[in-house]
This record gives sequence, C-alpha cells and structure tokens, in this order.
Amino acid sequence: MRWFDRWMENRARGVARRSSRRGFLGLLATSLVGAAAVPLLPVARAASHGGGESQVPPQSTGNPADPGDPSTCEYWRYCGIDGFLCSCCGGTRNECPPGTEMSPLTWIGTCENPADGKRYVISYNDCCGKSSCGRCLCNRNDGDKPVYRPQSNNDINWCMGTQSTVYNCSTAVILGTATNT
Amino acid sequence: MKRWISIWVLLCVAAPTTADLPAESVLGVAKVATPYGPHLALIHDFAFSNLIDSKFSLVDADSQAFLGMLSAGQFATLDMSAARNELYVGETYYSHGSRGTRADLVTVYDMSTLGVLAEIEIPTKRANSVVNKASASLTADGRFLVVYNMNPAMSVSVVDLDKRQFVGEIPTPGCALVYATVERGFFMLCGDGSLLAITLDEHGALKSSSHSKPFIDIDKDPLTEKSSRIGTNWYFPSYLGRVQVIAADKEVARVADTWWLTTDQERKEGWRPAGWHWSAGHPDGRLFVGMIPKGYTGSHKDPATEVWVFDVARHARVAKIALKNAAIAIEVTADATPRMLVANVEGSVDVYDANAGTYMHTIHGVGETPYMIHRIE
Repeated sequence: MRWFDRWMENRARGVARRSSRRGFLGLLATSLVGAAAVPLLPVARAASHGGGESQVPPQSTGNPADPGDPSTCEYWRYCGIDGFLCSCCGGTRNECPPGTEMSPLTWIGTCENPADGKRYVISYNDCCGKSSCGRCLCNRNDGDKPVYRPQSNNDINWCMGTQSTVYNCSTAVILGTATNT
Repeated sequence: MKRWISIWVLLCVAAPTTADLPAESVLGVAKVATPYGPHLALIHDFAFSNLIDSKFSLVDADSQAFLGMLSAGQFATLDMSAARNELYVGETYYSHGSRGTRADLVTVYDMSTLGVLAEIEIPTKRANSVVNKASASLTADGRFLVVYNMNPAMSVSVVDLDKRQFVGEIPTPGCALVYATVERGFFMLCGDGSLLAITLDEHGALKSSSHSKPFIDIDKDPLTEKSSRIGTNWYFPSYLGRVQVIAADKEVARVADTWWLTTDQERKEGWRPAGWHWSAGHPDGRLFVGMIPKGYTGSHKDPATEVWVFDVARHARVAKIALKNAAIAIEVTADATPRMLVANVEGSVDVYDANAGTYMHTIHGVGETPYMIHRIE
C-alpha cells in the first residue's frame, strides 16, 4: 500500500516497541511492521520521538525512578494521553508552557511505571489559552471510555474552568499510586 | 535560421484570429445547485494543529469536485435540513482569537450560497470535544436544534429554528450527547450505563424525561458513542464487537436487541470494530462497520483496515470490503446507488461503490485532519 510505503520510509525509525501502546493518532499514519504482525502505530508516537521525526531533542527526567523521554509518546505516564505533549511545547511533563493556564479539570488514568512496576494515578491536565502547540502529537487509549463517561475520556477538550478554553497541550501529572487496579 | 523564425512569428501574428473573449463581470460568486445530489458530502477538517479554525468542505463524491466550504470555530458540529435548505454549524469563538470573550453560536447557512443567514447565540457551554456527530442534533420534526453542553455540568441547549433563537437549557446531569427519535424526542447516554429519554413541548421546553435501567457495561464492553441510524433504529457497536439497538420509533427511546458482529472464531482472531467514527447505516438496512484484526484494550480508535457490511434484519454479514487505505471514519450515502466515503489515514477521502465494495477514486485537499464525513440528509 502506498501509505504504508511512505509511512515506512518516513517513520520507520520511530516504530512502536510495545504493541499495547497504540492509539487514535495512528489514524494519521499507521502501518504494518514486518509481514506477520499488524501493529497499528500512531504517527503521534512516531512523530514524537525525541531527536527523531519531530525534530525534538531527546529529554530526560533526570530521575531513574521516572524513566523515559517525556518528549516521546512512549513515556510511561502518557498511556492515556491525547494531544500535544507539553514537554515539547515549552512546558514539562507536569508543567504548562509559559503564558498558558493549566485546567483544574481533567480526566484521570492509571499507568504502570516500568521502574518500580507500580501503577500510578495520572491526571492529564490540559494547558489552555494559546492555540494548538502542534508539536509531539500523541494519543494512547489505555482505559479510554466513551464521552458519556467523561472522567475516563480523552476526546474531551479539558480546557474547562480556565479563562480560555482554547487548547494548547497536555501534561501528565502524578497524583499518587493507584490502590485498586 | 533566424529568417525562418521570423517568418514563423509573422505567420503566427498574421494568422486569422478567433473572436475576443467577452469581458466578464467582476465580483462574481458561485453558488451550489440545490437540492444537493445524494453523492455530495461535507468533510469536517478538525484542524488539530489549529483548532480555533476548523472547516467543512462540500465535495462531490463522483466528480471529486470541491464545491465550497464553511469556516467554523473550534470543536464545531454540523447538522442540516434539506427541507429548509439550511446547514447548522455549532461553534465556539473567542473575541481575540485564543482569548477574550467566549461566544458560542449556532450559525445558519444557506445551502445554495453557503452564506450566513443567521447567528444564534447560545450559552457558552457547548461541549468542546473531538468531532462527534451526536454533539448536536435536529429534532425529527425539524423545528429544534438540541446542542449538548458540558462545562463540566451536563445539559442541553435548545434552539428554535423557526424563531432563530435559543429557547432554553435542560439540565441532564450525568448524561451526554443527543440522538433524535421521532417528533420532538431524543435520548442521551449516561455515565451509569443507562439512557435518558427526553421529549420537548411545542415551545422547546422540557415535556418529559425518563431513565432506562442501566444496560451498558462501560467497564467491560462500552458502546461507542459514535452511532449510526437506520430507519428508526440507532445502532451502537461495542468495543468488543456487539451491536446494541436502540429503538427510536417513538418519542421515548427504548433499549432493543443486541447481537454480535463477529463469530466466536473471529473474536478469537481479535476482530473488533475500530476507527474514529467506525459505522454508517444505509436506509435499506445495511450497517457498515470498520473492523481491525488483533484488537486489544485501547484499540478502539485505531484505523479500520476492513469494512464489514451487515444486514441488520438478519443479523448477518453480507459483505467484506478490504480498504485501499485504512479508515479514520466512514460514511455511506443514502441513495440506491450509494457511495461509501472513507476518511483515510493519509488525510484524504476514498470513494467506493458501496454496493460492489470497489474503490473508485480519492478526493484530496480536504484539510489537515479530516476526521468526519457528513452525508446529505
């Protein structure tokens, strides 16, 4: 398929490494990897690789207990995120970019930290008041439920309770360890 | 050599000429012929990288012509009434682009000129979420437009299309989206797995409301909220591949039967529905569903690689369509020689002969992130 070939050419370096992490933004560029497996890979993940296709320099948390590159879609906290990664937009994994406002309302997911094997409650607060950042698009749908269960849905623009509902990017803030998962 | 060139130029200049092209009028603006043919469609570019400026493109699925567009604000919705020759766009704007005073509108467009007929202000509460056809709906009598609100309190705003004004808000705590039944009824889906059935009076005010018993197991196998209607039934595929029918032949909707889209063997192979808007219904009783193999928890928004076609009366699959490009969203035109339109992973729209299941051609240039296709209703 044409899109497959083009995708492979442009995105191959960023193919997902774990088949459980795939999502809607794969709609924009997904592909077969190899001949047998059919992992549908989100362009969001591919495009968000630090130093990769998105041209974003690699990042580190500096903390071995919080492993991974927060500028990539594979970073463990992003298991239910949907949007542009604030780490690529002037903010960090848990801070909004300068001049934006963090939404106090959000949806909650749980993600497993590969460093300690524990599941953490993650709050996906959006940052608001500037137009779409447009960098490091990432979507993963672990635990995503339909819009009629809003607290478990990542389709909703969570820029609510802010001065402006215009969406800029998304963070992933640890609230604590999950007690019942 | 120079002499030959000179002779050639002379011959060209001296050759008999046709009549001059006539002068043309300036300030000309094209129109779209109405009523729209059944193979026109509106493509919603969600404009993910520029959410405050989305758009709807009107295209001809046969000629591939681009006929015009509507400019919309962020997280827009689209409804239409061929009887009124009008399109209704729900949109959110800020007075200074990304900041300032928020305005939520239902903007009324003429289907022929694609010009604005009216801007109806509604409470600044309309739900802002990634494109969803059920974020607003006309009532079946065509009188009211019902707009789903979330701020995060959940409610609906009712717009009287005759009077061109907002006529009231109805709180709907815990319940989302709008699916029309008949006359002035609609239903919503609720976080406890029930549905909320609402009817309006002749003024658009609440006439009745009632909850069903919970029937959706949201934790184990939720129904997608991206539904399709055939006749007076709504069809809601589940993440795992059941389809739940909601009967909407009376104002108050009721939960009807449920059946599997897949066989036991297909489920073992991991076949599941997937995509952004993964189903479409044809009035003759065919339900088109985007499918993927090797589904997994969280695969429900992956692009569909096949479309399976079901006869909803027999609960039987009648065709499989292997897609040229994987599908974000699908739509089927409502005529006897229908086209299946596929918003594909490349950001263009593939057109298929829906009866034969064969690819015809691709419409390009319909925006950055075209996530939804609206047929002509």
